Amino acid sequence: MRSRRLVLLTAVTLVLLLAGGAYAKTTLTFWNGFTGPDRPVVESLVQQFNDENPDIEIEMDIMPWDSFMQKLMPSYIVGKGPDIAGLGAELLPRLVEAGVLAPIDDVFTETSVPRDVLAPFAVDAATYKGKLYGTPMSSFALLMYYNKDHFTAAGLAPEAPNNWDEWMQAAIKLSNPPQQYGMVLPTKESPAVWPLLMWSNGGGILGEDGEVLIDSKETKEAVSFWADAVHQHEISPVGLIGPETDKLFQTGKASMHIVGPWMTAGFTEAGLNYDVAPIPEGPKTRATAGGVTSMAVSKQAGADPEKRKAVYRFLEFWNSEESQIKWALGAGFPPNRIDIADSPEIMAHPWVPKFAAGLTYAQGYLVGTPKFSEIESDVYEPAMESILLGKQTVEAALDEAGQKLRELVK
Amino acid sequence: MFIGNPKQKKQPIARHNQHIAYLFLFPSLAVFMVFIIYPIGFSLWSSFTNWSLIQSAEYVGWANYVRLWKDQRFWNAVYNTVVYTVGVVPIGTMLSLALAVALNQNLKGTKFFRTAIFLPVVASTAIIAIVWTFLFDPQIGLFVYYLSKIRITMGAWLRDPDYAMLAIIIVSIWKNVGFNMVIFLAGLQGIPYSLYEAAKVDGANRLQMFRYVTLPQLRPTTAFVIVMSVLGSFQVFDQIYVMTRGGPLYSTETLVQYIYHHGFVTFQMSYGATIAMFLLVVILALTIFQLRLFDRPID
Repeated sequence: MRSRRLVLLTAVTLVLLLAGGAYAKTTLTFWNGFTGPDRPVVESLVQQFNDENPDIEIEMDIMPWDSFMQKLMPSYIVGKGPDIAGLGAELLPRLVEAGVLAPIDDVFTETSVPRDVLAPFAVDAATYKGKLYGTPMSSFALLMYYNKDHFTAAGLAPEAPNNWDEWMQAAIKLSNPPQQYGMVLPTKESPAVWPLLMWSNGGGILGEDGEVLIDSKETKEAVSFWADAVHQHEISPVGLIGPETDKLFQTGKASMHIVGPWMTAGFTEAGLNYDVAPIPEGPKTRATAGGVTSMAVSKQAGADPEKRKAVYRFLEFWNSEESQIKWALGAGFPPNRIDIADSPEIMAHPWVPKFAAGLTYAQGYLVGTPKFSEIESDVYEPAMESILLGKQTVEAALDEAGQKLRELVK
Repeated sequence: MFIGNPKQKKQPIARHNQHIAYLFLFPSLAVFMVFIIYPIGFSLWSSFTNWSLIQSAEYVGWANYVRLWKDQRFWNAVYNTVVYTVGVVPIGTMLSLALAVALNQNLKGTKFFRTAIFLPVVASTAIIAIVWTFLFDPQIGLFVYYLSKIRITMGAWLRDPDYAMLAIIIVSIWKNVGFNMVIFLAGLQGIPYSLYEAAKVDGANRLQMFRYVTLPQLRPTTAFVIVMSVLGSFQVFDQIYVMTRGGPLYSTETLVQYIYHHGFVTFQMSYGATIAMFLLVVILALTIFQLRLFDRPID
């Protein structure tokens, strides 16, 4: 009696197991760092994809960006990395050099999303040494946020300045430290505010062809112009990190602030009377920094035909018109597709069209070099800190930075 | 330790007990080998290579150690670690001893204060560091606000290279003083009361009793507290990582911070391992030295 039951049980289990096998799902792991207000939008899109594709299961793991990178590299090295990684463009070259990502140049012909509907800046960001390693997940440009009430209170028209002179005058006039700072300038863990100031004057850190610009005359001029204002007029506290500048603007202690689209939700919620505007035009050009998060495909997933197919379906889904409109309206980011940028839904949004316009002239910050982390933490940040803290002159600090940078990239 | 008792060594039953002893030791010994000894050996090996997670490792001889010798930022980290230790250990030890003596009296409210002072010990360092970052914030910080009420203006300490380390030291002392206080309390309660009575008969006042009875009797306790504090100070990481990330301008970058920088920011694992080897040797030497120093009988 007992043994018969056991046989039955075994048979049932086997049948169930086999049946389960017939409906085998391709499971894809997907890591990214969208922990902010954009998180629910990412989650709902992934959920929608999983619902619409019963044969594919995306297992998503969202973690803060700083632990993301620490975990990502070692995981890839031991072969346990995610199939898809939402990767900042500046980190991509290092991972390509480490040989853990798969080139996916055929993605535009294999899926219904052709290359020319995507923002070129966002596609280029995932291109390294002529090969494509991902398609855009999100892209943004930095714009200037300004507090209209502060402008009115200081006797200024509540409009954003257009050029550096107007900008500087406004910044000085709006500064009343420590109650209020005209223009907050972060040096660490922040969007590339100082680099975009350098670009506006024709300088920079590292040129497109790898030439060192950080000790050029143009860079020094730009840095002096703003650092002098920090020293003489205290237009900004010194040594700020990105989140601190956000907090200062959010609590009405900063009048102008440069940041990406992700802050609109928080600032609106705080009840600020603000607007966003393009970065004022510099002496040489109008510049802004853009950032791209690419969906990069791991070498293992790329080598497995089953998985590769599933990954492509997901990349296609993410950059479909429908998903991109949801993404833009939900997260406040400009859509990755330029062909829907002027659709009525997008145009009706208060901020998204402005950020989309910023993307047309945005530049990447330290992209295309595998030495990103070293350049940022060992060259650029200490130089800016030492200038703003008054430990070194602009001339001396940037000359030293130039020397260190040449050593690093040679 | 009963294993090494020479009297039992020659008896077969004792040998049998030895085997059983090793059996009982095995689980913790295995963990110790896998998570302590093996990583140390691996670090030692990689400090002689150019292993970087990305490239496969090649033997490079003493190159990493030569680089260490010439690396200004490394010596800055050594300096900061020493400054931190000198700032934390003496003040922290004296403060916890003073608190222990004060709270060892049979007064009202001592239980409340013991608990209150011990509370930061059980809280996570990272969370405490976040809280203190807020307290030190020049715009919204309560610490800054109350100081301004008594006409003391402090700037943004965590953003000022001259004050950031001081802020870190204050937080670290506050965090650990409760733990050391409890150790001292235990030590104080182990001192036989008869010694105080004898001192009283000899006509000693309270200060003399403290100097000639309490302090000598507490020597093993003090030794333990100082050795543990120095060990902890040389390995400080959490609060610095959360509060300043080693900045501004490397002014709070300690050795472990610098190891972390090479291990997980620039992924130069081998160089990080070299610094770790240096730290290992320094800590080992310091600990042996301190144990020797305190290893005298109580007189």
